[in-house]
Amino acid sequence: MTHSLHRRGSTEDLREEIVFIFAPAKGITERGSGPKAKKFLEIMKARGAAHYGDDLTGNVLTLGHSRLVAAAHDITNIHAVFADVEKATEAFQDIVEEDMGVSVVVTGLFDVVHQCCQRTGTGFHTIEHSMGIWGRTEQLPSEQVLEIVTMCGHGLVSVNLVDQVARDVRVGRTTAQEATYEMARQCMCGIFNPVRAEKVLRRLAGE
Amino acid sequence: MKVDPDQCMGCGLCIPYCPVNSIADEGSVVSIDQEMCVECGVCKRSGVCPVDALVEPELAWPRVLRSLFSNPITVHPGTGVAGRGTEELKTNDVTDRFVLGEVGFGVELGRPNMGTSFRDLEKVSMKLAPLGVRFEPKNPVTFLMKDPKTGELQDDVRDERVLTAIIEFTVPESRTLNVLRVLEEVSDEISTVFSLDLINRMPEKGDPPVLAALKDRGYYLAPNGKVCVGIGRRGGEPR
Repeated sequence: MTHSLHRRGSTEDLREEIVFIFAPAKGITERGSGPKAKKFLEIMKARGAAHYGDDLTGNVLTLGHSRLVAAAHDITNIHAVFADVEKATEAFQDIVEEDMGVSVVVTGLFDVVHQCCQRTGTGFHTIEHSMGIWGRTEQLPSEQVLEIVTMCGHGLVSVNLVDQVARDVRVGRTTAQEATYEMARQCMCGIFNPVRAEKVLRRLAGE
Repeated sequence: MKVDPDQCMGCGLCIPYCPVNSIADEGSVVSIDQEMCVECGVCKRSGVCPVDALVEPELAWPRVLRSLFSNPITVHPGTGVAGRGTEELKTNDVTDRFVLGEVGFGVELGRPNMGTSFRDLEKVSMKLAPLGVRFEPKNPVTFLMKDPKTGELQDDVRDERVLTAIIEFTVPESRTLNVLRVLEEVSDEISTVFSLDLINRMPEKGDPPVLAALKDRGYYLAPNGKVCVGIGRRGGEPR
């Protein structure tokens, strides 16, 4: 659903982050979309996505690329995150050139997505804004923790896990890279951005 | 999720993985608060238990709702979509679910990372229904309503807890501010949080007019968001 929408972070950090979703529509574009999903995965790998996967199978960090490609079939939604806008734009150019006929969503700063679209001759068809968090916001964790946990829109990276790995990094029990991997592998669909998460985690751990 | 007390050695490695803080250290074993557990499967999938003491029991109605809404690998039988949501804007270039003159809303109860009961969700849906909103028929929450005209949920689901559940609906653009006023009121009456989504079809020129109206009234609109870029085609055939 909207699991790529409410990602939090400074504008500076978000400027380098683009998420793609390959989304076959049930009963409309799903038939025959399996080979296109495989192609989409190949593009994500070739263009250097920071993380990718599909929520029914798992993510590339835990399963590896070949298993994801082998599992892709007609209802597969692919999710991918880039930590470099130039690489993301190249990937998007490939996607558009492949002309798959399957819906694609791009998530990021609207001005960055707009530039991406301009370079590929595409545009905004429908847009979705986050209007923030409402209700008992006083119970939320710190903003830095939120920056990390909202990278997994399914909510599978827990606040306690972030706190624990931050403590572990602080006392030298693990490295920021290992701790980031531990968080990223909980995100089934692969849109958790390990590059930005590591940066935030280092700040959180006081490195 | 349950713990096999004969296997568990009380190491507590699984405790931090729970997104809703439902695992507790009981000394020689850990226990899982069955009321708080949302059956997301994170603790077991993490693979941290050295003795495989976490057990996923077969879930009966209505507890199975916890897994349907919280575990992304569970496909909802009504929507055919994995997890708690729908295709919403993602495929709007081929579905036309969102049209000019209307706005789409998603009220994501329990997000981020707090979880929600359906009792809290119902407080919101029943406040929204009198505004004449059109609850998305393919959304799993709408399946749980006795009557989408009232937003009231089935009696046996209210005490179930999930990681997140989304009330998804469309309204004529002219009622956008009414919806937001109601959401402001009800946000004081619930015990959790919600993340709010706003969906607009793009007009031929410029931005959707409702965005300027919201900015003028001081509503927050994040600088980042989702864009359906319009490259899908019905049938999916090459151009």
